[in-house]
Amino acid sequence: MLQDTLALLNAVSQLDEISLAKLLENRLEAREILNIEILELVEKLLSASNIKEALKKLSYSQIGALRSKELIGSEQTLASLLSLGLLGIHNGSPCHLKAVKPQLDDSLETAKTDWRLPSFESSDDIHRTFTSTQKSVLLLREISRQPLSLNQSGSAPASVIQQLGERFNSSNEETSLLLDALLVAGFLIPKQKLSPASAKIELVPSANSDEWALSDHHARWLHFAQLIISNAPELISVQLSPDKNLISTFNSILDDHPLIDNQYREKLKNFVQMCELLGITNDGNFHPAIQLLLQEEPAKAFQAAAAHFPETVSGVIIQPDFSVIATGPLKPEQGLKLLELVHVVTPGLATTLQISPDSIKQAVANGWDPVEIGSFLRDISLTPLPQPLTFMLSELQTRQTESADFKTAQFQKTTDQPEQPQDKEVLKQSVSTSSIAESTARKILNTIKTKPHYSTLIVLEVAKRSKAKLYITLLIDDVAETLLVTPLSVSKDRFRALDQVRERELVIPLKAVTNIDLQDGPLDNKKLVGYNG
Amino acid sequence: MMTTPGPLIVQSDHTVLLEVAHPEAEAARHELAVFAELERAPEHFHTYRLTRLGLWNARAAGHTSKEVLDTLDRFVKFPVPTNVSAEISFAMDRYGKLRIERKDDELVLTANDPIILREVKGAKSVAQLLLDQVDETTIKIAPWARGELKQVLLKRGWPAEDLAGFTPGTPYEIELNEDGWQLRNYQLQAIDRFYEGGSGVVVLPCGAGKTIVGAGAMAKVKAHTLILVTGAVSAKQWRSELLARTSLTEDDIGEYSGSSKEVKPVTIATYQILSSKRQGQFAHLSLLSDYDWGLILYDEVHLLPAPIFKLTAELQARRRLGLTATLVREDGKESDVFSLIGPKRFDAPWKDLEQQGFIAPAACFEIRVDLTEDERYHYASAEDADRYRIAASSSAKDPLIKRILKKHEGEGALVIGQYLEQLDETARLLDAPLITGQTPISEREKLFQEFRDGIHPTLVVSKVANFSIDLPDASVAIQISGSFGSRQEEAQRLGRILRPNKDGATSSFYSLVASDTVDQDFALNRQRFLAEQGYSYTIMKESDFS
Repeated sequence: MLQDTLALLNAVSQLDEISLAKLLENRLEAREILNIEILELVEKLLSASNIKEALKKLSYSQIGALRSKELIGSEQTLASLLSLGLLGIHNGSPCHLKAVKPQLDDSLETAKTDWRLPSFESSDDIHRTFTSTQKSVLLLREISRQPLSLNQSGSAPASVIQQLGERFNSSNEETSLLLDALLVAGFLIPKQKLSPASAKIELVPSANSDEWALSDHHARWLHFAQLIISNAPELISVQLSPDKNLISTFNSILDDHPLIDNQYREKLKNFVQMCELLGITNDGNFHPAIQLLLQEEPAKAFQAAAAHFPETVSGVIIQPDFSVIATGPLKPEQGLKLLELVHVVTPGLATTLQISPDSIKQAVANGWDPVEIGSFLRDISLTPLPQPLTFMLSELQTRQTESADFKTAQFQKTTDQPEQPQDKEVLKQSVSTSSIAESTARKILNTIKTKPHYSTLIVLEVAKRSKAKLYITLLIDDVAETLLVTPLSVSKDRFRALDQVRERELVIPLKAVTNIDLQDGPLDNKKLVGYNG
Repeated sequence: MMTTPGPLIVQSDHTVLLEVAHPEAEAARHELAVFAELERAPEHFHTYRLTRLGLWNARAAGHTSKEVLDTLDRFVKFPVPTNVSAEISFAMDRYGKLRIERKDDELVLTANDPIILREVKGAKSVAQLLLDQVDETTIKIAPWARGELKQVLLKRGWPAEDLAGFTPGTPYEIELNEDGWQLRNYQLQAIDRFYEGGSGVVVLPCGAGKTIVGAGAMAKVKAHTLILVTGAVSAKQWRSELLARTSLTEDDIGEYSGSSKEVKPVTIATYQILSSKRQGQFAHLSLLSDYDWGLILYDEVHLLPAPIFKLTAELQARRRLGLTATLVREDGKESDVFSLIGPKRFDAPWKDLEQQGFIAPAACFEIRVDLTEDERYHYASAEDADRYRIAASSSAKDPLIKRILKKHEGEGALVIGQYLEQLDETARLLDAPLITGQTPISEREKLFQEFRDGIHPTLVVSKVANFSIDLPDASVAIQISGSFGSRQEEAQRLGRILRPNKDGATSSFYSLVASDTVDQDFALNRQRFLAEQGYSYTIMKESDFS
């Protein structure tokens, strides 16, 4: 102990003012620094807990130097250890402090598992195998709806990774790995974004991804695994062997190839982690089915994979709170269809999903018919559908029928109708009002069409709030023209609107408007009379 | 893959699904309740969540991570995901590494490992609550800091095991007077779990006898007791219930409210008086700390106001019992209730008690009305802030209220709403008495009695009726407006009609909602808690109601 104290005293006394300040900052708390004597400082620096804390920040080279018997390390490394108070000085040369070694050994023991390669917690875990493949399919579905635009560095933006992760209960790291895996397997492909404004790249599902997503669970996983393994980085690929631990292979590659650059090291690490995440390996050991695959026994591999996965269940349970429970894997086709109607709450062997008014509206927007939704849900549900759900679907159906009827409704402008004072009041009140529901707007528009005193102004205002699209007929210089627009702002004598066909803004005088018709359903080109933009 | 047909499914997001109809469901539920929080209890699958709080709570009750994992392994359908089992071990092994103890009559924070102590005291929020360091593993703390320290340590993931014990309080002989009645099994369990834990929260549906659990806890602790309640009417009901169910007499019970300031061995005070200010100071908060209470009982604990929260942090030496039907705080402060009052000690699914006949079965209906043409126009042009009021107080609801009451002629009915103007109109329309916050207590009690006696078949009530009103004969509730999307208000209002009806009949809960308005959106949110408890709403249009 005395030897340590003297050596450290020596080292500390040779530090310049800046280095000493840094040492104090690194090793002591602010209140401990005030009026501290040098002996007291040395005593604190040699305490076990303080050393342990300081060791946390060391790099491999610094750790290597501390572990070497003869204190081998670059001049820079030794200087950095001296400035951290982890070496002493004896006879003018840096020397080990005896107090450091036991703490270092202890810390290394504790940190053993993630010293070389951070790994996912794992065991022979069917959850991980199943869920990560399921999440990959979910990511593909999501990207098929909304292609994933890459940023300038060619990677997925962090915000998108986070959003996708939150959607499917994955960490950002897991989501990134799954996206990488889909790219490696060729189920996601980069594509030039067709936009005149930018030459961005986006990721889209490949043509064969649908077929893959619809295959049986075990076949889906095995196929995925096969594609990933066949695209292993070269240094790993040449060493792949059924009985060889992948993590050990990775570590030995690093040991044997000291000049590997960071980018390639990351690529190797990614591959190892991807295999672990997808259950291809388990703590580095290949899954029995994958071992068979590596032995070029695909039929046996297929059998082994099938035995690994649980049986599919025949349906789901839909509860009064609209939660949907699949107590085991659903048949992929059934599961993917269901996904179009629900939000995923928890993916897994058993999956929790949630129906909501929004998810149903989204499905309808994507082309589902409420009757079709009801019939599919009745088929897939092992329990009767909750009444509020059937009510919601029948309401939606009624609305659709009403909208179809409404297509014929038109608003004739009465040119001699004076502006009503209450119209102005409505405009005044609307300044900070957000949009109203489409169905509400429709009802109001329905009401308005029967009230001649509600002028064009009001119709446009309501359409603006409900973001409704209108066919507007204008009479300019005795020429009639019908445009499809969404009003953006309305004032006393003109309104600003977005031309939905030409995608540009227009300012239209109210007096030119002769007819308004609500667009309900797909664009009707026949209505765009005399359209010349 | 072989799967065992157990009733539980543990998911990787730490939720546990319990299949209610499974033959082993009851056994699994019983064991699961020790370490998992019931999150929702709809018809077929109940969802529990494994949280650190729940796991620490189990650890505090002497259960190890191995026991928890064994329980799960015994009942699961699929193997427990490794991330979940790792978290269970990790979280439970953390508990007890920091302890609050009493040494030489002083409170100290002690640690197994000096590194842990060093880690936590490195946080400013912790450091400011600590006094002198005694040695590498011990630091003194001030008695007032005990609650706050537990709170901040909990937030930092290092729950402190509180071994400093409770102040016994001034002893007082309190016995239950079980003459012609007896504690129900779940009430007994609730009392025992609270007493074993020393402090915590009991969650029971309205009408399931929370007051009796309170009385039972008092009879266990046998010490001077302070009961905090939501209002004067509730205070009177506590008093009469205690007189009927315990050995306490009129002389033993004091009332501390706006009109009276008696402090007796059992004192009932309102939250309002304790949080009222005089010259900028909380003039009555000292009632909590200046007397030697052996038990402080918080009725409707989910409503605990902020100042009482703060002072409660300093009352960690006293036994504390929180009672509520819905541990849902719209301000999201459920975890503060946990660390300051104590963990949830007992929770019973509403539908279970219904099946056992302890609360009345209830049918819930949402009936949608269309706004009148003028209302629709007014609504469309209104500011967002006004829209709910316009929709909720639509006159289109008036004829429907009459039709519902006609259908339930002969049954006691409550019409409950939020807006005084609307309630006033409704009371006039129905020729029924109106009770609001402005109605004097004596008048309210008179009207309640007349309602019980059948003189008034219908009462129109504002939100004052949300809590603690004992209306045994109400079997119909019509909700015409509410506090936007408040889940706990919906549950409390349903609770008004859950006391078992004489003939075992089903109670009816109607929520009148204006179609295509925010009223409808809020209704969906309001119903969430009850839907999660297994209540199913039948939704219909006004024209379909018969």
